[in-house]
Amino acid sequence: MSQNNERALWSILAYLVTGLLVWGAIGYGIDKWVGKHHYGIIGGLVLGLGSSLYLAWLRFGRE
Amino acid sequence: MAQPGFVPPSSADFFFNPAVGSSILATKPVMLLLFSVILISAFFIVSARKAAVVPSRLQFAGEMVYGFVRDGISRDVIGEEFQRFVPLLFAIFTFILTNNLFGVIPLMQFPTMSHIGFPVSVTIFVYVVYHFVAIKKKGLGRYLKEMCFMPGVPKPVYVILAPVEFLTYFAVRPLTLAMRLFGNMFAGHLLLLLFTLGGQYMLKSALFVKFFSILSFGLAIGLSFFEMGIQCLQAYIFTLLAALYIAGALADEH
Repeated sequence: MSQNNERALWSILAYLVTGLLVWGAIGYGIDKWVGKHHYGIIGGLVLGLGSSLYLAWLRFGRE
Repeated sequence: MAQPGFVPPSSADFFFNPAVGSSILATKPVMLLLFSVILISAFFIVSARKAAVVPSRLQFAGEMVYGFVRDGISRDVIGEEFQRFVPLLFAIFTFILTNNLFGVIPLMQFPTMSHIGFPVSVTIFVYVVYHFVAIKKKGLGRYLKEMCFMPGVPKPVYVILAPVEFLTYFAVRPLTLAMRLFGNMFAGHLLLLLFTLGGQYMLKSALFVKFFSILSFGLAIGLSFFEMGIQCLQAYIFTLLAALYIAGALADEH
C-alpha cells in the first residue's frame, strides 16, 4: 500500500509539471501566432492544470 | 585600498583543468568516477569472496547494502519479477551513492554527479530499460495505447489528455530524474564552497571580522554532515524512482 502511495505521489507530481508545460507552451505559441493578447497562455495554463488534476484523479482517485 | 572584494563561488568552480595533457578524460570528475568503479568492485569482491554462513563484519556490510536494494527497493516496488532488475538497481544505487559521497570525503570533496553529464548517462540507462521492458511485454502499439488512452473518458477529452500523458512518460520523467540528482548535488556543493570560501576570506580581513570566520567554517562543517544525508537520500530516491518506472512498465493496467 505504501509503495502504491509513493508511486502515486511521484506520478502526480510529474503530471502537474507536464500538464502545465504542454498546454502552457501551446497557449504561448498561440499568443505568439495571434500576437496581441495573453489569453492563450492563461487559457493554456488553466487547461493544463485541469488536465493534470483530471489525469491524477483518473489514475489514482477512482478506486 | 586595493582590497579585492569577495569573489563568490560560481559554476566555474565546477570545472577543473586536466591533470595531464589536455584531454577531458584526465579531469577530476572523470578520475573520481573511475576510482568509484574500482572502489565499489573491490569492496564487493572482497566482501563476498570468503562468503560464510556466519558472515564476517565485511561480508555483513556488503550483504546489508545488497539486501537493502533487493528487498527494500526492488522486491517491494516491482513485485514478482524483481529478480531480473536487482543487478541494475544495485549497480545504480552503489554507483550514485559512492559518487555522491565523494562530495564530503576530505581530499576528494567533489560530488561527481554535480556535472549534469553523469546523471544524464545513468538516466539514459533507466530510460531505455523501462521503455524496452514495456514494449517487450506489451508490444509498442498496446504500450502507447495504454499510456495515452485511459478508459472511461469521453473521446474528445483525449485530445487534451493524450499529449500530457505522452510527454510525462517520454520527456518529464527522465528529465526530472536527471535534474533532481544534478540539482541537489550542484547546489549542495555550491553551498559548502560558499561557506568555506567565505570563512577563508573573512580570515584574511580585519581582526574583528576574523572572529566571524569561525561561524562560517563551523557552518561548512555542519552542512557537510547535512549534505551526507542528502547524498544518501538522493541515491535512494533515484533508485526508487527507477524501480517505480520499471514497475509501471510491467504492470498490467486496467
